[in-house]
Amino acid sequence: MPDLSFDVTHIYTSTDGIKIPLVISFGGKEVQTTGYADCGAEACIFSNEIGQMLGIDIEAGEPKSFGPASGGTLQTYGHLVTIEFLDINLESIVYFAKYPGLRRNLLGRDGWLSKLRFGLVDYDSTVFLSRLT
Amino acid sequence: MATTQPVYDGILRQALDLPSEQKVRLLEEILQHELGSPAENKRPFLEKLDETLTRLTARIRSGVMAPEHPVSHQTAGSPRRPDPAPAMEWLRLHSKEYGGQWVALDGGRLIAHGPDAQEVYAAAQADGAYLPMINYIEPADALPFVF
Repeated sequence: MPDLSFDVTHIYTSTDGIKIPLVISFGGKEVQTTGYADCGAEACIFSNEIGQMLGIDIEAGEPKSFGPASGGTLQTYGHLVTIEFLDINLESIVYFAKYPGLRRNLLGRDGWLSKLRFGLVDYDSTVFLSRLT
Repeated sequence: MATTQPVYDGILRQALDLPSEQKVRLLEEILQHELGSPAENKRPFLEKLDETLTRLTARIRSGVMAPEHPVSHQTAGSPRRPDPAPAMEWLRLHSKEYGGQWVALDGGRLIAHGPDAQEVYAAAQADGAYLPMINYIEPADALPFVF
């Protein structure tokens, strides 16, 4: 059996997903909000509204379209931001939706999961995290 | 457990007599236990207070003040970041009342809510709270989310 150890244990109380409190920062502005850990998402995707609160000129970022499981296209723009959560601090590209209305902020593989050692016991509502160095 | 009112009064007095820093520690520990166990939520508050107070007092006497459980919200000890636990608890308890709206929270205090994110954010900034939690609450009848 592998022997795993983690720096952070987080018990989530949300019943609709693995909701993680975080602070996202850009250009000296910061917003406290939440994101959902999503191993099925290729990247971190945040709502247009959060980008606006950070004062980001969203459409000035790197354009990228995502294909949701339900079909269609989600147009986004990537920006380098800082995400702080549970005493872990990451500098990552986050893609902000072109249009308002995205229900959730997603913490996906690129920019989040790929920078962590991540353990999950959903039965116990517990995630285990360490930052990869 | 048949605990009498005078005993409970004594527990409350003991808790209220603690220095502010230890009162905060006491409440944090109760919250951590509640977050870790749904059954803990159903127990009478004074019972939980009594147990936590006993543990805290024992640790103060022995000079050990580190939390006995891993703190899930590591920002709890950070002087710079607000502890997100009260806001997360508020979201857990009140989401059904504010479906389809943005909310701004200062800990467990609702600063503003409404369908327009920027208006809610502006209200939170006007309130002056440090780094309020800004969150969209999905409508209660929203379909399960799959991106």
